[in-house]
Amino acid sequence: MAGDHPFPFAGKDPFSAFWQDFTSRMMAAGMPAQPQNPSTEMLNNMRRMFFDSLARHSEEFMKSEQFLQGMKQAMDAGLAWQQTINQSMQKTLSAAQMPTRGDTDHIALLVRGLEDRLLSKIEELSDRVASLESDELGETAKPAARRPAKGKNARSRRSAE
Amino acid sequence: MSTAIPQMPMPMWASGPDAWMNMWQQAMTKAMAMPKVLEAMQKVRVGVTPSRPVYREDNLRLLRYERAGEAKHETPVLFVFALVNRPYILDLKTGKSVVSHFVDAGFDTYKIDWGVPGDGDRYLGLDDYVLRYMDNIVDKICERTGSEQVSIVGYCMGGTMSAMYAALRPEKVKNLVLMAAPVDWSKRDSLLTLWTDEKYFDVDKMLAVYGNAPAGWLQASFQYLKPVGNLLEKPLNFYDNMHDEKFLEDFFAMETWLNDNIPVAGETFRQFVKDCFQRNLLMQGKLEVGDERVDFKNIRCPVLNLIAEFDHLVTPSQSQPFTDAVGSSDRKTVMFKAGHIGLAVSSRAHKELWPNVVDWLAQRSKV
Repeated sequence: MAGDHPFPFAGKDPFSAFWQDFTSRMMAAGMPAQPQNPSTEMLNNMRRMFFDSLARHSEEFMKSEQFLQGMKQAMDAGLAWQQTINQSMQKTLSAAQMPTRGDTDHIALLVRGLEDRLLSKIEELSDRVASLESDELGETAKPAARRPAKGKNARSRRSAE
Repeated sequence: MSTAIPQMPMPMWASGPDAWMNMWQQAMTKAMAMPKVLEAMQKVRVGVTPSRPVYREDNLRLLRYERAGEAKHETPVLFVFALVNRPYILDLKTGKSVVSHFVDAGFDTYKIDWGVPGDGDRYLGLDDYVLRYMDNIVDKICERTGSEQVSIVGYCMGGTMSAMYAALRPEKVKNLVLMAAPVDWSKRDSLLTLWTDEKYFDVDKMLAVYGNAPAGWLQASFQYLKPVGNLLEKPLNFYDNMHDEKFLEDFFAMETWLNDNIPVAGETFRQFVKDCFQRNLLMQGKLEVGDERVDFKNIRCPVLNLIAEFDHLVTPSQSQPFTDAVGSSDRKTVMFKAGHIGLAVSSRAHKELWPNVVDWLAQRSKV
């Protein structure tokens, strides 16, 4: 089946391709050995060849459209299941008048919004102070070295020293 | 020369009593090694170079590594690790510590430990990590050391974030070293890039259910990138070498780190997947962090781009274009024969790569 990511075994049976590769590697691994006395080295070699072959073909399979579609379906099913659990848990907690994850998320968002507003205000105030100071000293306004830059804030900044 | 066709060897079970005896003895040797295995598991210790936290903000800690004597280089070094997994891989154990190379060479060395994001951190975005946390940390280090700039060493996703930071705040970065850092996702040659394709992966749906990217899910994804290696070869390799104390020490240190996954803050994960993996905005100069656009041409400091040749997680094609994209004249790419993690922990890297990286940085840090 061809998609954006062409199936790597186009025109071939995936298992045949793997089997062909695997058996040829096994043959190559077994060649140097004495027939009645399989050495540990040879057995290790055969094992390595088997895993090499399996790894190569499994990677190709994991890039295939079939696998990617299967993965998507499995994930969608898993997420739907988890969503059902989340919803029933939320209903249970709400019925027991206990905070749910939705509530804590809401609080987190409120805190972030509050924090952003506060930090903008602080930035605005520090700009005004800097401007007043420079007016008073007759100097050209210079940005303070440690003043939070644009897009940066010092939320819960504390030193461990 | 014999012309006889070689016969396939007889399997172990058909080779007679000697083979059975041999197999039994091997099994007994392994059984006898069990107490050693348990002892090695208990003794495992990661993060060996002495350090102490010098700054905290929300979940993160900035660690400073202890060093005997004065700093030999004026510019401090900051290590930035990915938001996935823990940063102690850079200081895993004696003889496998990247950080110790810099500490021993007399650098004032710092590392960010991002901490573990909780449910409430799901709204932390790249702007929080790059423009707030990293910027505050760089300011803090400058304040402590009196230096005006820092050298940054970023690993994996931490490298990508470091590149973003260097492009957005170029005046604060003296040198930039990236280790296996992805910046270009135009080539769909890695499994991870395919798996995160918007056709197969709906990141919004996942984050609506979980909030953050769950640690277990991330760990499983990484494991299945190499299923044969991780699920078959690794246990067999362990069985083969379980009598070897040195092997056990390395194995458990590595496994401790591999199984110590942490969740990634939802908003950051969403931005990374959508803007980087799916739309490849970073390399095109279209990625916005906060309200600022990331343009690699703004990076004018010396750049060293370290790439792992056999990296299955961040393929060389994802890291390589960075060197040509920056505006620096002093820039270099080093392709090292290692995997993604091997770049930080392999014996060869510690013998052949890191001493050279330290020299490169020393030449570019004022003495």
